[in-house]
Parts: sequence; structure tokens; C-alpha cells
Amino acid sequence: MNHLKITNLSKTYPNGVKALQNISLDIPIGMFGLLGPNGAGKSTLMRTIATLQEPDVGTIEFGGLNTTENKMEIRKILGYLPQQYGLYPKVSAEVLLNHLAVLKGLTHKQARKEMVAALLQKTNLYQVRKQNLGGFSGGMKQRFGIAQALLTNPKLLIVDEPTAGLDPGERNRFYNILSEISEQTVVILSSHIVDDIQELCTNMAIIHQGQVVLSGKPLTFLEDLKGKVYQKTILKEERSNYYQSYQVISEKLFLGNPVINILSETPPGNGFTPILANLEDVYFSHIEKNKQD
Amino acid sequence: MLYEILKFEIQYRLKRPETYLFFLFIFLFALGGVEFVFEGKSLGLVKKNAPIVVAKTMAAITGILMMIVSLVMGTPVLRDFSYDFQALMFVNPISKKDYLVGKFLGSFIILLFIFSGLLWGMILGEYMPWRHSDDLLPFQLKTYVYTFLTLVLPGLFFGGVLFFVTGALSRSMMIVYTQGVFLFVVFILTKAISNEYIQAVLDPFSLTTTSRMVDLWTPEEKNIRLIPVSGVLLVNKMFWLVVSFLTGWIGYEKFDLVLINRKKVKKKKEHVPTNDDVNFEVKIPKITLGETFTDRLIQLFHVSWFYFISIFKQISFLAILVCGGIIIMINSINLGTVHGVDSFPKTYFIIAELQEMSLYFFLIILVFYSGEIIWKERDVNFDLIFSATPISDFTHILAKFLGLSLIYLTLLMSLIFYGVSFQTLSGFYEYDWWVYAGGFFLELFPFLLLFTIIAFFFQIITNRKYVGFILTLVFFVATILVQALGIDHDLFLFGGKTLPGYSDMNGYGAVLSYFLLVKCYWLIFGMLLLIICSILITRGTETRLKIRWTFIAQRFTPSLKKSATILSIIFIGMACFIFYQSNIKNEYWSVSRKQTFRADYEKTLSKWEYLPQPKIIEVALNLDLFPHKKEYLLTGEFLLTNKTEFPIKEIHLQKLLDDQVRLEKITFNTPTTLNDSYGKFGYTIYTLKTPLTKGDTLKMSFTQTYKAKSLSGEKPRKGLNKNGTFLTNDDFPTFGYNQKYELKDPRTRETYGLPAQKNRLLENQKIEETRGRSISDADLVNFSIKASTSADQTVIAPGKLEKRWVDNDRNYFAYKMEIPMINFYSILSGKYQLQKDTWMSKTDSTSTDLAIYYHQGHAYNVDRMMASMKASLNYYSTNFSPYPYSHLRIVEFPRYADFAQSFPGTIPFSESIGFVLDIDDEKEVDMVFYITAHETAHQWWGMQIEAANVPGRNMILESLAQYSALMVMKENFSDQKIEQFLALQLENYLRKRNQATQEEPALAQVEKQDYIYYEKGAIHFFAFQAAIGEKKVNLALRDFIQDWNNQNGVLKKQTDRYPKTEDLLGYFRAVTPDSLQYLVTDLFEKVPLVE
Repeated sequence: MNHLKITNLSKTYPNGVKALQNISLDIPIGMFGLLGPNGAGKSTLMRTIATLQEPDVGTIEFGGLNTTENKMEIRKILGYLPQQYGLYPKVSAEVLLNHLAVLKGLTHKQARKEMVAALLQKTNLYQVRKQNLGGFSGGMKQRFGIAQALLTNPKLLIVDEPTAGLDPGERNRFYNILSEISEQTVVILSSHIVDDIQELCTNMAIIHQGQVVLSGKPLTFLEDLKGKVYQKTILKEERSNYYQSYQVISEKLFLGNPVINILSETPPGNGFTPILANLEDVYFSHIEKNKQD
Repeated sequence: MLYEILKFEIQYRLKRPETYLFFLFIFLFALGGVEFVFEGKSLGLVKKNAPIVVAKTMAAITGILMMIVSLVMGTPVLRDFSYDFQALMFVNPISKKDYLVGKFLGSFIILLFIFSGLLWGMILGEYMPWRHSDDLLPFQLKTYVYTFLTLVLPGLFFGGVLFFVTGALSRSMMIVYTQGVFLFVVFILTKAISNEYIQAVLDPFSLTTTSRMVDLWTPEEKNIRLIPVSGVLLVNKMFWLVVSFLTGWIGYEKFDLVLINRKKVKKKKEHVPTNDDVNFEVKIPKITLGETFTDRLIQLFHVSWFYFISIFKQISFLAILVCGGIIIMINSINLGTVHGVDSFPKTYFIIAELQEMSLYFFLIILVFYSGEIIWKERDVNFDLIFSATPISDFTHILAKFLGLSLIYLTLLMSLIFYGVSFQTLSGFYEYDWWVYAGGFFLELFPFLLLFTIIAFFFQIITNRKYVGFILTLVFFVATILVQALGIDHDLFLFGGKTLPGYSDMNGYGAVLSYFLLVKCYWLIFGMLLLIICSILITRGTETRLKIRWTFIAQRFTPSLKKSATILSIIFIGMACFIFYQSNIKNEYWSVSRKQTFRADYEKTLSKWEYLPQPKIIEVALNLDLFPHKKEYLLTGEFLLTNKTEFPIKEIHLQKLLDDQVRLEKITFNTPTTLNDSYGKFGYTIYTLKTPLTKGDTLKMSFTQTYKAKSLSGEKPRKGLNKNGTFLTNDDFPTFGYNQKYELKDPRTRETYGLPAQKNRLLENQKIEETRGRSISDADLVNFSIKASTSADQTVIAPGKLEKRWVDNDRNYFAYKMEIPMINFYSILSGKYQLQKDTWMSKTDSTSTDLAIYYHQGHAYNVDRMMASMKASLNYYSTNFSPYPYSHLRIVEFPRYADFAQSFPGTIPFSESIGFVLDIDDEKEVDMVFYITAHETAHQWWGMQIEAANVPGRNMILESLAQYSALMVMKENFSDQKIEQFLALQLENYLRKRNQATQEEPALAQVEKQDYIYYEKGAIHFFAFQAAIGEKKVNLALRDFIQDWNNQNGVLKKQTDRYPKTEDLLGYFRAVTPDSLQYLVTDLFEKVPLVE
């Protein structure tokens, strides 16, 4: 049974930053979303799972295999797309993908050729496969990154902020690919964009300041908030009053005026209208709660 | 804003460790800078901190370290681009001027700080332990500061501007790394300019320029005067300043802040893919990963090729290939030059040239490319993707190593291509492929491989690219240093020693197998180091060595463990084997052990230097040579006699000091007692029961065996060789203390508490006058030898060949000298081609057999030698005295030594000094003819007349041979050739005089200064005969021989001393008219050169 089990994982950087604090997660096959603001520790966690970083304490097991002790075994079944990466500018997409396929152990020439061609098709890079990567746009580069992560039918796919730089169409195609794969694969997807997770993930966790704030199924969370979120457009001058009186979980601007969402067990009245809670409200409600703690 | 950018640049640099490392490196380099640049050579009377020495050292180091200038100045703009910093920079309102000027000035200030290490290092260098106060002038701060400001500063400015501009425009790190090399190529190119003035102007480092500035200065001037920035130096500096500003201006105009963005936009538009024909529904195929050994090999091959191609395709690499060609074409123009005549472009000359030239080149490529390839993934931020792949660490590092190896192979192949092209263009088609292969693939290639691993190791350990660069360079310098310090054991000297020079006759000698053994030993060490590299290399985000160290157990996989164990066992086994070979089976002599031994020898035994010993009057040898086994067996008999007034009680016998030689079975035909307490010096004392009285004789017989070390790293030399054996009387037992074993270098002597060598000789002048050479075991001897050698070889020894036969598949020869000869003989054996001729004397119609024994394929100049022998014999026998022997032979020997030398009736002639010269009779002097004439002249000056072992001896032996050869030349060549020859002598004389450490003596008092007895001797004797007439000089020489020849000289018979220059000058005065008498004094007894 290929599921990923993270137990009491902690990591403190030499400069004192506590990137991970006692994180424990169980991640089954399917899409798993890691949500959290920038700097929450998502990338550290993902790098650690991807065998690229050592935890100070704690273990990660995949299918019963300790990942920090069996790095090579994990790497064989791993697909990894880092948040930030570069590509050789003077090499073509096809050549580099082929190179990576060899590195990943796809030594059979014909199989490799087919795989490379298929992935280039899948990520819509086939037409530009002969073009040097130096001339790629951000989106094209990101699609290349996705293609390489899929090279070896990974059983564990880690994609860190994969939709950055993708236009909506490209994003959708990417989601389709992921959901297709997630039928047999543990896919961990990190994002600070709530929509990504909401649309895709069956399970999720919110990470903040190196800690798991919440983990479970998005639907359950939404269920929890059902009928508890209210919205109102207010005037700028009134902001502080509202913040004192209500549990404000988020604030947006609409036509120049603040629109606030609040959490309330009972209908607050005062011009607030109930709204359908979405994952963003879940997210912000927990982040805000965490801040207050 | 400009100031802000400048400040930012400086602050950034001051935080970077490489800034201080560069400084430290230059500082340390500068401490030994003078020794490095002048290779520890003597500078004659010029002191080692004289302005010109400081100037040349600073200029050369600045030139060599242009790569540091490039690393500092080429990177600031590049950095902004590679860190995606430009977006930030360009949204700010920065003007191009502020940006570029600020960056440049900031970096240049840092560059000055870094290169100030040169100034401080050279100043402190005066106080280093290896400097001697008698080499130095009193410390002068002015010299250093002035030279730094006038030479280094403009050089740095030019380099700085150039590299800043190319770095900013190309934005390629590889260009930054290699452009220092290109500037060096420019420097080499200027060397090819024949017009010396233009060459001096164009030299970017002002090396040639400063030499030219002080060309005509006396040593005193050189010690005192600072080099003024005027004349050609001013022109040179102005020229490069103008070039600097032009470069800067062009760079400024071409540079565009938004260039890179614009390019991107353009490209994007070209290739926006359309979705129409894309099949998103394509299924991702199912695959299985290869995990067998074969799959590993496929990975290794593929990834190595990937790395190779990634470097190969770079423009900078192609530029290096082209530059290599240019350098070779220029440098190979003068190959194997002997007395101004070049040799045929034999492959071994080309190889030597290529190796020397390409080392600097390769070192830079190696250091930078190694760093670059180790950092390849991380530099473009690709490392996380890369590290998450299941490629094994060892395959990864090995692929990088092989990728670079392929780059080296490409370079080496291209060098061979250039070499062959050069040979072809020169119309020389004898390509020695094995020599190419040997020079490059046995020597240079392993060197590159080993240092690449070292470079990898430092990159991986430090995890900082620049620190890795510096440490690799430091390591390289350290290997040279430890060798200079005398640590030269192959077990510890990284990479082992270099291959000796190649000889057509004898290849690399017997050293090849040992050399390969040592290379294998180090390559295995390299592989072990590579394994260590592979388990320590940064993978993922953990960069701290401490953390990486904690994971080695996990990364040290079972298969790696197995390989490492096997390699370690082989490594240790080979180490033991090498140790056994060099220290147990053969005795190991470190440099200091050798020196201590020699000092002890002198301290213990020199008290007997002038102990009267009997003289040899008869030599009978029986020598069996086994050249292929490298053994010989010699049995010999010396007949000795007491020529002194006093009875001789003790015989002091000196064995040749060589571990491979054994001297046994020494018997005398009278009872003796043996005192072996000096056995470690090979010095034994035999006390005769009945002392040897005047005129009595004593027969001594001995057996001497030689068995070469089976596996030895010793460089082949003159002696027993597989092909080209050359033994002399020096290799056999001698009597009494041998001065030749004394330490010669005055400093070393001082270290060991030994007095200066010269004084002792002067104190014993009277005894030395009775000696014809320093080891004076005999006056004249009767000589005979029976010698045998392998079936393919011929033995040549003095005397008439009485018999020659074959027995047991070996060649036997019996030679016997018809008349007594000096105790100075050569025995040669080799596989020879033979050219024979006969010379008939015009004076007494006797005939002499002429023979030239030469190596197959070396027939180029044999006819010239033959013609010269005949012409020389004609001239000398007509003008001086008859030729005494029935034969005159020239015998070629391997180029492990570069001389020709006359022995009675035989002239051993090195492969390197005449056989392969390519003489252009239109333009050049026939040096083969000349050298042959000179050596033939020694059959008179040396063989017939010996000179007393006191100052002036070499005027009688060498200057007279020069004169004689010149007269033969005059008879056979045009005046113009003679003038050309004399001009060359003058040039050489002046050059060598500059390097002389002692005051120049007059010709008649000359000791070991060859520039006086050769070059000046030729010039003065030519002037002398031009003034008083050739006939008169010859008349004087004829009388001189008549009176002083060692067979029956009228005066020689009456005395036991040998002639001195005073005697010779007497004959000259006798034939010189009164009006020209002053000439004898001026030419021979006074110092100044008279033209």
C-alpha cells in the first residue's frame, strides 16, 4: 500500500528559522494539497520528502520504506518539480528531457523515445522541442518542469507551486494531467492559491510557520463552516471597529471599499449577509486563528 | 547613483571570501616570485632585487595571473544578469553611465587591493629564507612602489577594461575564465614579430619592452637605475592605454541594459505553439527502469557525452582549439636549435614544445572546466531536479570526469593534428606516431586526469567554486615546491615524475615500465579519490560538509565499498611494490642524502687529494656488454708504475659511485693488506707489503659488474643503454680522491660547512701543473680491449680493429691502440649504420680510415661530417703535426647528453647536436661541419697536447680547437659565412656574460667559463690571425706541439709538468712583430673584448 506517512518531522535551519515543527501527516493515494502562505515551510517539507534535505528529527515513510535511509529507492519512484529551478539555456527541450530520462534510469532507447515524445505532446511542447530552453517563456518552462516530473511513471509526485506562471488554459490542462495520474499515485501539490487545492485535492493540510494547522478533507472543512461565514461591504473608516467587534477572517477590496468576511456561529445581523463558505475562508480562518494564538 | 553602485560593488566584494583568497594567493606567489620567474637561475652580477628583476617579475606575474584579473573584472555585470537581478536594476532609474562606470570602478578598486598582494609579497620576499644577502641590494621601497605604479597598474587597467567589457558583452562565464588565456596568446603572438622594436611596443605585459630598455646597461646600472617610462616603454604603455580606452568606449557603446530582455521577447514570438495539432489525450506510456550493470553503463556513456558536448559546443572552447594551433605554429618555428641552426621538426621536438606550451593552457582549462562541470547543475539552479533523479553518485561524478577527459582528448588530438600539420608544411614527413602518443597519452593525459580529480575534490570539499579554483592552483604549485625541496619519491610526489626526453636511438630508455607503474599507482589513487568525491558531493540542499559527512555511510553503497576495497588493496600492493623496488631492492637516495654523502666524502677523504699514487701505464680490458639485459661484465688489468721520487705504500682505489656497479676481485701481483673502513664511499686502501719504489711496476686486476635496477625511475643517461651505450674511463676504477664527487654549488657547500672550491686548487698549483686533468691516473697508456655485445650491435673502442668475430650469437671485437694514448677512452655500442671513407695524408701519404656510425634514419648530415673530417685532417696535419692514429671515427649516442667529445681516434657525437640539424646553406652556417672540425681539432688539442690543470687550461684545449675549426671553415666557406659565425659567437658571448656570477677573467686565466673559452676564444683568435697572419699563428702552434706534445715533445720530455698558457703565449710572441706585440697582451691577458 503506497501511502506516505510523515511522523514528527522537525527541521531548524542553521540561522535559527524553525522551518518544520513536529509535522505528522498521513497521505494516501490521490491528490493532496499543501496550503500555506509564503515561507510557511511547504517547500522545506516537500524537499525533505523528495530526499533532498535531511530532517533534524522525525521520519518519512513511503510504502513502508524510510525515505531518508533509502533515498535511491525513493528517487526511482519519485517525480519532483521544485518551486524554483533553472534549465540549461543552450539545450533543447527534447535533449534535456531525454537527458533527464537517462538520469532517471530510462535506459531503453525506444521506450525513452516514446516517453519523451508523449510527455512533450502532453505538455504541449512538442512543436518547440528543438528549441533551446533559453528562449522559453515562464509558462513553457513550467510545462517542461511538469513533463520531467512525469518521466518515470512516478508513484510519488511532488509538485511545488506548479501553477506559477501558467495561464488559465495551461493550468486546466495541468490539472487534468494530475488528476489522471492521481488515480494510482500519491500526488502532493503545494500552493498558496486556495483555488488550486479546492479544485483538485481530496485531502489537504494547511501549514503555517512550520506547523500543520489543519489537515483533512476540504469538503469536511467546508461542511464545518457551512452557515458560519458572513460578508459585508464596509467603509474604510469603519474598518477598525469591525475588526474589534467581529472575527474577521479576510478582507478584499471591491470598487475601492473593503469587503470583509467574518466567522460567526449566529447570524450577526448589522447588514452582514450569509455566504457559501469556500476553502479560502477555511484557510484564512485558520491562519487568522493561528495568528491570534 | 554612480557612487551608490560603486559602494555596493565594493561592499559586496569585501564580503566575498574569494577576494581575500585571491589576495592571499598572489601574496604567497609573490613571496617566491623572483625564483619562479627566473627559475632560480643565476642573474650574474645583477642582484635579485634590482629594478629590472623586480620589473620583469612583476610584469610576468601580472601576465600569468591575468585569469584572476578576468575573474574579478569579468563578473560584475554578468552577476547581475545571472541572478536575475537585472529586472530590479532596470526598474530603478539607473543611467548606463552610472551603472557601467560604477561597476567598473568598484571592481577595479577591489582588483587593486587584490594585486597589492604582489607588492607586499615581493617586498617581504626579500626576507624569505631562500634569499641570500649577497644576492640582494639593500632594501629599497622605491623600487617596488615605482615598478608597481609604472608597470603593474597600467597592465591591470588594460586587462581590467578588456575583461570588464568582454564579460559585460558576452555574459558568459566560460569566456571570463578563458579570456586570460587569449591575452596570453596575444603575448605569444608578439614574440613572433621579427622587428624587435614593434615587438617591444606590442607586448601587453611589457616583458620584452623592459628587457629592451636595459639591453645596453651594465650590471651596475641595472642594479641602480629605475627603468624610466620613456622611449619604447613609454610608447608601449601609451599604445596599450589607447587600446584600453578604445576598448572601454566600444564596450560602453555596445552595452545595452535591456538587451537580454529584448532578445527574449523576440524569440518568444517566433515559437508560440498552437494547440490545434496537439494531442493532449496521448497516453503516458508505462515503463520499467533499467537497473542492471549494463543500464548503468548506458547511463554513464550518455551522461558523459552530455557533459562533453555541453563544453565542446561552447565558443570559448573552440577558440581555445584555434589558439592552441596558433601558438604551436609560432613556437615551433625554432626547434632543437643548435648554434643558431634549427633541427628538422622531429616529432620529439614538437612534443617537447607542445608540452611546455600547453601546460599553462591546460592548467587553466582544467581548473576552470573542472569547477564549471562540478557546478554545472547548481549554476543554473537545475540541481534540485537533477538530485532527485536516481542517478548514482558515482556514475554522476564519473560521467563528469569522463566528459572532461573527452574534452582533453579532443584537445590532445587537435594538438597532434597541429603538430602533424606543422611537420607536413615544413616538408617533413617522418611522423613518429608513437612519440606523439607517448608524449600526450602517457605523460600529459594522466597529468590532466589526476589534477582534474584533485580539482573535483577541492570543489566538493569546499563547496565554493572560487575557493576550489584557488586551492587547486595552490596544490599544483605545492607539488612543484615539494619537488624543489627534494621530496621526489614517486610514492609521495603526486602523479610521479615526468617522462625523460625521447631519443630516436633508445626511446625513453628503460624507465618506461617503471613510469607506467607509477602512473597506474597514482591513477588508482585518483579513482579512490573519485569515490570519496562521489560520497561527499553535495546533493540536495545540504551544503555543509559536516552534514554531508554524516551521510557518507548511507551513500557508500555496497558496490562502491567493494570497488574501493579492491582499489585500496591494489593501491597498497603497488605502493609496497614501488617501495620495495625503489627502497629495498635498490637503495633510495633523496636529494639531501646525496648531498650529505658528497659532503662527507669530501670531509673524510679530501685529505688524500694530493697523496702520490702510481700512474697507469697499461690498460687491458675485457668487456662483455649485454645491452638488452642492461648488464655488463668487465675484467681489467692496469699496469701501474711509480713516477714519483718516493716509495708508494698505499694504493687508494675509488670505485665508481653507483649502486648498480660492483667492483670485485681486486688483486695485485704483490701481497697487500686491505683497509675497508671507507667502504661506504667505495674507497678502499690497499697497503703494499713492499712499497713501490720509483720506476717499479705493479699489476692490478679487477672485475667490475653492472646490473641495472630492474624497475627504476632513474632518467636514462649516458652509460649502458639498450641502444647507444657510451662508457668512458670515468666509469671504471680510479685512484685516489675524486674531485668530481664534490658538491659544486657554493651555497650548498656553505650549508654543509665546506670551504670554497677554488682556493684549494690555487694552493696546490704546483702539483696541478703536473696533471693533465683533474683525475690524473696516468700520463700515457698502452690500450687494448676485447669487447663483445649483442648480435645486432657494434662496439667501437679506441685503436685499430685487430679482429672481429661472432661467437654464441654475440659480436666480438678486439681493438688495440698502436701508440700510447692519454688515459681517456670511450667504449660505445649500438645498432649502427656505417659510412666509411679513407683519407690520404698529403704530407706523408699515410692513409686513415674514416667511419661514421649513425642511427638508421639519421643520415641527413653524415656527408657533411665526412667532408669536415677530411678537410680538418688536411688542414691540421699540414699546419700543425701529422695525425697520429690509423682511424678517426664519429659515433652517434642518444640525446641524453648534448655534446660531442673527442677521445683518441673516436668522436662520440650526440644525436641532438648535429645529426638532425636542418641546415639551409643559403642562410645558415654549416654547424655540423664546424662542430666536426672542432672535435677533430681536439685530436691535436687534447690528444697530442694536454694542458696543465690550472687556469688557462681550456684556452689551450678549447680556444685552440675553436681557432683551428675556424681556419678550416675559412678555407671551405665564404667570408660572409665566417662573419655570420663570428656575429653569433659575439651574441652568445654577450648573453652568457650577463648571466655570469664571477668577474670575467682574461682568456689566459679562464677556468670553467665556457663563454670565454668558446665564444670569446673564437673571436679573439680570429682577430689575432687577422692581425699577424694565419701562417704565423700556425707556425707558433706547430712549434708549440713540437715542444710540448705528450709523445715526444722536446720540452715535455724534460719536465713532469704540462704546458700552461704562459708557454703558449711565448710561441705567439715569438711570431708577432714588435709593432703588434701589444695584441698578445690585449687579446689573451686582458679582459676587455677586442673586436
